[in-house]
Amino acid sequence: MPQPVLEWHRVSISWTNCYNEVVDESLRPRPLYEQLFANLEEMGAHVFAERTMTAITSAYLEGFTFNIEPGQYRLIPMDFLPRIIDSKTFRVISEGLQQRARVLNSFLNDVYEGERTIVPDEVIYGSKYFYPDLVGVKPRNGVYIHVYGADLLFDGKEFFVIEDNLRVPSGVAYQLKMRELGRRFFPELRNGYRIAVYEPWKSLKQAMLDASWVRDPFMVLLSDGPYDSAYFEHVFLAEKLGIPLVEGNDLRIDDRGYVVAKIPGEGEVQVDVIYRRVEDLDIFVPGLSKAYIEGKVALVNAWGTGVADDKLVYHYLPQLIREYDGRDPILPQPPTYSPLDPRDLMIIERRLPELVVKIREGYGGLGTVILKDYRGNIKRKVAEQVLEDIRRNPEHYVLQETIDFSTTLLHSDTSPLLFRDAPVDLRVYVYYPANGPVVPPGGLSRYARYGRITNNTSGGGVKETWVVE
Amino acid sequence: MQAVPVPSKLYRVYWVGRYLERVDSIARALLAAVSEKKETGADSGFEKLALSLGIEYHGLHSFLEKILYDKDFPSSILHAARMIRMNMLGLGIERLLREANMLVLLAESRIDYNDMDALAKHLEDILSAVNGLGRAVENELTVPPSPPETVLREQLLHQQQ
Repeated sequence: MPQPVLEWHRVSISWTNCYNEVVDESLRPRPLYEQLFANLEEMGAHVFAERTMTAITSAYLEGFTFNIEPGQYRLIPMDFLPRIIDSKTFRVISEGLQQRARVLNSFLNDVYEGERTIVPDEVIYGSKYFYPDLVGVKPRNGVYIHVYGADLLFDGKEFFVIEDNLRVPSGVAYQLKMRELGRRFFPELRNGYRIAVYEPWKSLKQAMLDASWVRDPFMVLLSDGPYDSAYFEHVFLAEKLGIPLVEGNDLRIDDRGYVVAKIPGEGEVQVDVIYRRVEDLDIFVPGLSKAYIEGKVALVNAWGTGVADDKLVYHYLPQLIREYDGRDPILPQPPTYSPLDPRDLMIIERRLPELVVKIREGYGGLGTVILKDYRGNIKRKVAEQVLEDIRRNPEHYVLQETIDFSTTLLHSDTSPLLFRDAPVDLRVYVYYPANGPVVPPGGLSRYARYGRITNNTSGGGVKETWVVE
Repeated sequence: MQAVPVPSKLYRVYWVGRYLERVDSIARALLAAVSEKKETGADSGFEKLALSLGIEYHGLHSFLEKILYDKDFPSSILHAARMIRMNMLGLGIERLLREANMLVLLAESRIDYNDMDALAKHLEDILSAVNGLGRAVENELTVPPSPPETVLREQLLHQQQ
């Protein structure tokens, strides 16, 4: 269906060096988006704008907010033009992430069995997420990473994995909420598309059941409470999973060393599986780590997965994949440099202004610096400062080649009748039941509102992702 | 299973109730002071209320600013409304959260302190939102009524057989 070129005055393109996924250079919608623009045309730009405002108000009233600090919260920025990925492309993503999940899990098995790996010992034992107490402690079926969130970028040709999140990856509820809002407020946009069903909680629940040491387990989601920035997600997922949402005070370790939940009027119930959305176990439930080590409770994710989440381990992942899987990585990743390696340090010193600087154990985009996006004197000063920090604390940093990743179209903040481009990434969730990793078809598309950092913690917004036939 | 009343949820219900009462009583006390001000032109109703809440009275505008909008003052309507919202979030019941957010939106909306009619309307709107939220809490959290006596008797007979 040939679509007219979108009028220049309705579209503002500022990332001219990047591949725009929605329109080509002459502002003609790309094939996957032709039907969407036809649907939008039929719906009418004013109706789309009005519904956007209604959808945003509803989302706010329904608690789709991000906590900044106690008592302070903000609406999660959202955009209702979906991001569309064809199923063939997603199949490659899926196979690539299954490969990574299996390899990362095998690596964790080796680390906690005390086996040598190709990752230098100082990287493993120097990680703040390596727990010596866990050596010899195996979770059920040897599965450590029941939930894994991979961050991907598209450069117009292929998807790159830029981070593996293995501790408490968040954001899946945002995609689910966006899908719900999309269905409620913009059903016409879906006309003519066969969108893959996205029900990740089913895979998560299976992974939780398989993690249990007992049959018919009593399972809970452990949250640190309404002050957590992702509390909306904790409530949402507990509801979807059909399990109680508990906080540290709801649980205790009984005389036998088992975890029990206090149910007023009913007594105490033994808890068999905890989907934990907290990192520090004993702070929330004193004695929980001991109960885990003794096999009296299963944790999802297992305790100790942070070692593989380390950005220095990511540096070795292509080698780990060849070692464990015997094949090349299905999904590429940008070359990564460690200042601890003298050869890498030489590259870093020579090419710093072209690289992305990341804090080794950072998250949420905090501490990430894309030097390429700075100009003139500021760029020079920032690079000098960063280099000084790297030389002083080389173990705290990793550096990556910059990918000029793709952009999407958003309706503008100033007028929903206008569109503008914005960098976009994709977080895909992998779940790991006993029979191997599964990748539900979909994920969270996050766009940057300022610069190129897309993380919600850094002010990024969210879009619904469609995987279509 | 989601309905399992773990202590943290019950604790939130308790605080929702306490903060709802707080908003209700402050709004009613302010309405009485507004009424007095309209009749006599005097600030004495506001002054007495300030005294009872431990607030130093430096004029009507600064008092209203504190009692209505000071987000860090535990007796302000905005602070209490936000605490209701936060505790409601923890209950995970969308309808209640929506009502709580409506109350926060109302509590955040500004008024002209010189216009006593506007102030009275603002307070009445807040009371109406409190009532709406109270009704929603009652509908969502009340235990379903027991089956009628006849059904219970039949069930007992069935068990005895």
